Amino acid sequence: MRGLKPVITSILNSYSGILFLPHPLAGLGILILLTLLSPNLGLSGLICVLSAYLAARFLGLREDFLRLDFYIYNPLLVGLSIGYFFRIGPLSLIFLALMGIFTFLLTYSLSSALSYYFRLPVLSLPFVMGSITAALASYRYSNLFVALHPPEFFWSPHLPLWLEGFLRSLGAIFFMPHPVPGLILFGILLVFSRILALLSLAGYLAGTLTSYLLTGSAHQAFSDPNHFNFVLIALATGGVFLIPSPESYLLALMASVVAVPLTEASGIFWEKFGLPAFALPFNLVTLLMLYSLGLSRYRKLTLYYRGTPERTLDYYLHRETRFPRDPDLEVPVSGKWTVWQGPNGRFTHKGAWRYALDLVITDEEGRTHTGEGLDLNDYYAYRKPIFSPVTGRVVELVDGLPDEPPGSANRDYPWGNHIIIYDPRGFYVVLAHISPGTFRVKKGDWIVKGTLLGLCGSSGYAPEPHLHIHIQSGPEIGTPTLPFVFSSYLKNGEFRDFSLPPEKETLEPAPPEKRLQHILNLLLGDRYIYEILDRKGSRQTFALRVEMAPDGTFYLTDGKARLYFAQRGSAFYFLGYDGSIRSPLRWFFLAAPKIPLALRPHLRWTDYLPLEVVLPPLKKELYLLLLSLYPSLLKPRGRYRALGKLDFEGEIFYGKQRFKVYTRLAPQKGFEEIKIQGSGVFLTIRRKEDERQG
Amino acid sequence: MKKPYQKPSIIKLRVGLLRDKKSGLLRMVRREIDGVPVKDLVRKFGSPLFVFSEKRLRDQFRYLRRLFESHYPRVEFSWSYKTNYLDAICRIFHQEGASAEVVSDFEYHKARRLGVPGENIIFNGPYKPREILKQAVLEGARINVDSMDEILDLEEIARETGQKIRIGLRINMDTGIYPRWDRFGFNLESGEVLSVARRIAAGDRLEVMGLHCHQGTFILDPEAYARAAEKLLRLARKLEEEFGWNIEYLDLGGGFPSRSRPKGLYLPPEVGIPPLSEYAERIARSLLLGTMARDYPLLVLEIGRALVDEAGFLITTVRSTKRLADGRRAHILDAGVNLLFTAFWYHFRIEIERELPGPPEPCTLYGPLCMNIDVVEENAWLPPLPRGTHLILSPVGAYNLTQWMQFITYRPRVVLIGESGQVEVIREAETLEDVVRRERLPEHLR
Repeated sequence: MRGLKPVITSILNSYSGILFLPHPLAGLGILILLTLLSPNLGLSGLICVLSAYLAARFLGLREDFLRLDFYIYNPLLVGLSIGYFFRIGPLSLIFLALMGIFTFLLTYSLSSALSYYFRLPVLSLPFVMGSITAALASYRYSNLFVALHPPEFFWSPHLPLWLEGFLRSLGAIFFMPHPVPGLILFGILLVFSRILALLSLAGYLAGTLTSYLLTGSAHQAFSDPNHFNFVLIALATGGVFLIPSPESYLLALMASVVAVPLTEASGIFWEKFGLPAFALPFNLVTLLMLYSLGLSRYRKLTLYYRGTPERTLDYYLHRETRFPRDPDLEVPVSGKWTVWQGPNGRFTHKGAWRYALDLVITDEEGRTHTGEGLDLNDYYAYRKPIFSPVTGRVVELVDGLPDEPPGSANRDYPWGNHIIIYDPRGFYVVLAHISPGTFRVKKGDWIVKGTLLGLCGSSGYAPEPHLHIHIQSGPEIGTPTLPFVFSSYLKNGEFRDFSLPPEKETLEPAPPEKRLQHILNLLLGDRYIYEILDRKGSRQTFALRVEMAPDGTFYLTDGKARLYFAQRGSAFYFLGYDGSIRSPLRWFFLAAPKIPLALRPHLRWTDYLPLEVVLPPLKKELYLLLLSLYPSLLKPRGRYRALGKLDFEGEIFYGKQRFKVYTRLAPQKGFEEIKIQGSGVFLTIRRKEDERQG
Repeated sequence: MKKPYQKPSIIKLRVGLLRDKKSGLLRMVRREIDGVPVKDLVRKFGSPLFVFSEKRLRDQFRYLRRLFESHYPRVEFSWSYKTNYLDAICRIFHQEGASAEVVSDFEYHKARRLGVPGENIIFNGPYKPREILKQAVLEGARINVDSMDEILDLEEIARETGQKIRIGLRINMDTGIYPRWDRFGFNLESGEVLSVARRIAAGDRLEVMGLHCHQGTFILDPEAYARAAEKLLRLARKLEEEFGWNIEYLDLGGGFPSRSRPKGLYLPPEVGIPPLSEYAERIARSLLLGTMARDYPLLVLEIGRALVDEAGFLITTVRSTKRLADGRRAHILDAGVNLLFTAFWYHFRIEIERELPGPPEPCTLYGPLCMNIDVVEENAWLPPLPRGTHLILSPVGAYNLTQWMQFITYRPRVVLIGESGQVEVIREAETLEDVVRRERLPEHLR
């Protein structure tokens, strides 16, 4: 029976998934609502989606069925559309089952094709095709009993025109174009996501008011049930496929308005065939938007929708601002270098080659050479070692071009001696202007990060010795470049990660120390006992264990809360927190969201903290809605400073709250002591003993 | 302008000196140090006077760090206390990020007193008293062991404290230079290191985490460092494989030359002494090529002389002049070998506070001590120096302020010229009180 649970969850999710709220409780609510208000409708949908599941199971696609996530709502919607027109009887049951299987296959194939070729979601395209097929086919099936009375309601509230129209449209999404189910649906939206609730209303009003403007008839505009398309477009664009932000909200309104003529046109077109227009405008407009934004490398596309826009936003705010999506490289040099030309640089980093860095060494006066700089040997960067920034394979290596004397440049071979390394993450790294005859690797070599490649030179278009680095999409030199970041570096004594220093700034590699790597390599099975002391002197003992989540991330747990962690680049990170704000694990996150693995006195760094470790749940939800409107409203930030090789202090501030934290690592393994002070909190967490299990 | 009158004189013509035209008289005049007139310094602080330049100290440190770090990703500079352990000097280097390299209980105490945490102290030296050794262990200093007896001491301390102690081993070996210093640590070629390692592993109280060597002083062959690095790397790998230790650092000691001119070096330092960049390049190259990428061990350098020597000056004054029996001119200065211990091995650059008329002639500079050995320079070419002329001797930053003696006379003031030109006393002149304070007159002699 355990195997059934994910299936039930998945089917329930499909109900609420229509509103982009894959949550079993919301799904159950909608299922009950449908069945209660119109048993015919509810049963038809259920039968259709169940037959889709049985077919998937029969074909051995059970896992795929589950993986389709909430897009499994397509068979459901087709079921609803059939149930809307026909009464349930033996024949319509067969029809429902057939259409369910057909729509499942459509969803399965289309979603794969769309995501593979266009990186697009399938949305409800299969439903559009399935329901049109069903409607056309049913012309011939005279044995089907037409549902004479579409769902009727005993009570009809008197509402303002726009509100009634909005609620009716909301209900129309589930084939119940009536304010009562609309109101209930809106309630469900409101409970699970304020952002979606807000978007649904805004999208509807934007689209419908435009339609009113064009048609000149308020009654016509507000009574057209097809206007549910505006609602869906706004939900999808503003909150689901883009990270919620003022920008995404504007785009959502724009998309809803743009969809007005299309909705009208398709309504008239399908009317000719006596068919309802369904959700074609929603699909077309949303896919068009997404495809164009994808092409233009729009930076705030949702990579992984986390169930509600709020959760997506939360994840984006603390994860993606901490770890951007661009590939991370290691600093390919040793010592302190200066960015001479950054991305979109003044000289040569333009157009398709804009994501590139040129590095030189400068002295205290900012000069790149001693003396007059007439000799190559005067230049600090000249013949300094260059290291591999990635682990990968050398796919091209050009050597033998001479170092150009200062002030001259080779126009015929602008890249000079260069090396191209393929990184299995799917891109190519280019390092150029290497000094001839200094390569220590050869074509075909597999090299790891930090391998000595060669020495910096001035071959090619290089008026003075410097290192050029970029990543590109193809193996040929000169293929368009891609953005990248350095996983870690020091900027004037400050530890930075997953970013690029701007032009004229210095950077220095921050290689991890073996000892700290070891201390913070918390292993499965480790168990640490801590005691927590507060101001009143009360003591409490708790134990932490290391466990692994199904996706391979490790976490510390006290049995309930989970604190995810990992070592990345040159630092140890707490990645995320699941659990009550009362768990002591939360203090670990506050005290040490990131620990550079090369602590030394005066080393400084900053980090952003996720909302769940600083705010109680309700407040957090409210803040997320506000943050989507004013992203700069609240950024819980911590500033940290190392005191010694194993301890550091920090200051955390958000809103009016301020904390002082202190962390000391154990000389052998893990955390030794954590102190928190401020905003009414005064506590110490101290290691008591620990034990290791097998 | 009318030229001042010069007494006619006959001098022997000398040819073939390895000096270019610029290195004549002009270069021998120094009116100021870091913008502060020599005359003012003497008037305010007296003569003789040691003068240090904060700017030169910091610039040299930053230069060396930039140099070594641009060649090798993991470098630690450890300030060699014995070179100059004045608080102000040490503090400047610690501020720049250097750890402390100490070789005795006194130096250890001095570093701790300056606020250097134990983990930032490297403890070398052939004799580490039991007491201080234990303190160093408890405070987490990195201890480089010099002898088997010290290993026994440490094992005992490990038993007492119940912890496993992580140590470094001092290694001596043949790196192709002469003389070979084989008195520090354990010999590599004879296999002594490996047998000691076996003994350490068997004792199971200590764990080796670093290797140290100190090849000598004023080493003029950069290749010697490359060879030392290579040999230590090979040894490290062997120790890691055989005993499962993790060798985290290789300490190549000091011995890097400054621009002083050792006696017996014929060429001027600009020609005869390889630039430090060559040392950096050779060391880095052998470490980078000899290690797996990303496993690059921490390179520790105990550079002393090359950091501090050229930032130190000694202002001294001609107190009297005489002719020796062979007709040579001799000057008596107020600073001698009591303050300039390095005068035994090095020639100093001798500069005059102002341009003086008269042809240069060979002369001998004596110190104020009533001892025949008190010779600052046997053969300097100087114009006639009137009484009261100030001479500026350099470089004198290394070893002089640690090896100077309270002998016959008092030790003078030491000042530091700050980065903004302010002059500050960093060590007061000695007084009678300082000298006699530790003396005790037995009752029956009173």
